[in-house]
Amino acid sequence: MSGAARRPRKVLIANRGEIALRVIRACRVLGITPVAVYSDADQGALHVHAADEACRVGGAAPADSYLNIPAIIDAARSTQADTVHPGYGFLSENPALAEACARAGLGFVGPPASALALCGDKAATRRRVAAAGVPVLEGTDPLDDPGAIAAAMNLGFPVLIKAAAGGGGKGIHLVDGPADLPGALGLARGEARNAFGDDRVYLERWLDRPRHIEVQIVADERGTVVHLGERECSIQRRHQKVIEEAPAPQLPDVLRDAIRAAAVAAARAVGYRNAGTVEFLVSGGAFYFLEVNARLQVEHPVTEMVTGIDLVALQFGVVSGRPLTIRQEEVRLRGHAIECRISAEDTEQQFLPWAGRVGHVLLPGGPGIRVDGALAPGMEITRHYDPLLAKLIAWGGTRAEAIARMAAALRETAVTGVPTTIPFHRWAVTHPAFGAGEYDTRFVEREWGARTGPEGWMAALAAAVLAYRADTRTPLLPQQGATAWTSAARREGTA
Amino acid sequence: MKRYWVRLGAEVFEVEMDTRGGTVHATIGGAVHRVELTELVPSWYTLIVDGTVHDLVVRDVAGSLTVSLDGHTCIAQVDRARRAGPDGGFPASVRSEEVRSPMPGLVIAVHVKEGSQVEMGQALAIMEAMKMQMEIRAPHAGTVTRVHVGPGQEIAAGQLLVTMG
Repeated sequence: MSGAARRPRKVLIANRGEIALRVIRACRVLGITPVAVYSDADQGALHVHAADEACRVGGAAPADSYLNIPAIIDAARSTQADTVHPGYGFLSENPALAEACARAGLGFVGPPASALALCGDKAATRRRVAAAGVPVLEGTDPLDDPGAIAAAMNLGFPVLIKAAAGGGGKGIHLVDGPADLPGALGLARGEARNAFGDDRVYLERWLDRPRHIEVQIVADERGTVVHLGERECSIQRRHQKVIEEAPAPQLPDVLRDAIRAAAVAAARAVGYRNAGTVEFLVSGGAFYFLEVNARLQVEHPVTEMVTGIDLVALQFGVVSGRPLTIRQEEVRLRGHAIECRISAEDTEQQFLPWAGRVGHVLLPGGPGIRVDGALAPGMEITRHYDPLLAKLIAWGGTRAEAIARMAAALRETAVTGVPTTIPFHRWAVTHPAFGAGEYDTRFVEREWGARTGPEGWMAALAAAVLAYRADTRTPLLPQQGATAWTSAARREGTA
Repeated sequence: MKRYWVRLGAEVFEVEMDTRGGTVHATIGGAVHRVELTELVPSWYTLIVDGTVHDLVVRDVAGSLTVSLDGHTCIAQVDRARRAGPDGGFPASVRSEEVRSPMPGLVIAVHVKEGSQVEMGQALAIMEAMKMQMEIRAPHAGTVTRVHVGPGQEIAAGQLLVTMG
């Protein structure tokens, strides 16, 4: 944070959905007054209801509201908030918001604008981190289309297109051959322009069967860096994580220690402050630095569950200018945690996002189960925002216990009205390869299509039972004009 | 006692349903199964077959019945009388010359116009939903006979985008 550090008293949350609720929960614990912002599509949203004050920031399209820096600064001024928490996505990694906050005398929960600008420049970050002795994955600077085509020939196919302002899987496309490159570049730029207001893209070398492993770090204003262990995030579709776990299974201790140390070195190399994530790809016994995610991650709860640390509270502590109260040797990981992201998507049709109205919602419970969501019966899912509905998190003393609890929780969870990824998660957490902890980032594309459904007779029986129920169900309409209520009233002489 | 003919893909199953002594029995392929169906919330059911619990969600009842059984999507056509004809009299479910939207969203661009000659897999249009863009590709080579949507248009899942000849 730039400017004088001070304890936040009133925080404007420049976000929506489950992460806005998550930040509000931390505010409640710390006695901070939470202020929500909302677009026209979100006036009735849960995060608005849960806050003490709320301020409209614009139309439903993100560019008009959650990406609208002047509107967000105005909202902070008019509500007299002293600090802005950006959540994840939207403006969280945009140095312009951090800068605007500094100019307005507002605290910003995240790294300073200069560190955000560096982390946003993936090529410059890679050079800086490589100079600190950390192995990095080969990639290019942001390129125009002719430059990208020439660079792809040098890197070889398959090659990965990534948005320079990236995050959340938006703007990422894996290209198998030169013929698909121009079209994929167009799609990646379109997504990047829409999600981040910046259509620059770069290319990255593709590894065979890579695992995505990332390390949670936190740095205070003095530059002390502590890591809180790693997360394994290789279960992905559309290059976006869907299941994450901590700690990473099937990772030799030597490699685990090396990756954690590399994350701390990378954070120091870029002058990182506050909570962040250092991402790596692991292939065989080798690991490569990918990038620094300069924000709180969607999957931060798995780290919270195994460390017992409230990461949002920790972020507020750093913004206050307090040195970290936890030393590296005091960080103890206990048990195992898994997160399943439940989204409105059609798992049978390439996980395409779905808009519509949620019908009923049943959420799970029991020991070790946590739900971070912003999901309510009857809520409208619009095409403007990410289709994430809720995150289901299961903790267990062992990995096997965490998986069993997750499987049970998934069976209890029901969302009607829109298709969701719940069936996918039920399949994934009971898959033998997942159980063994042996999977990579292409697990979903390899295994999901190959699964077998119920036997034909069983499906036919289910359809026939539904038809039989419809044919034989007693009509709900009152018979002969008399209902139980009127009969009772008559008996009691009140009608 | 009621009888149903359930078509799943190319297969047709004959199912006999009967309630005896308060218990529902289903006879299929000569085997009798004890079944119970309880509505958990509207369109979400607990189906118990011979004591084993299954999860059953009804997703669509327009035309054919789309259900999710233990997380697997099944599309069934239920009839209360046997259909005549060699193919059971069922209409072809999807006409290949119609290119429909796979998701609700916004049309970003349309690359073709009436009379355009396209190759299989060629991008016809670009759609966006939830910050994700995707190309709508031609299912086969042919001629575009009609374009039904334009850039900036909000469309529903399954809406007709392009007709191909």
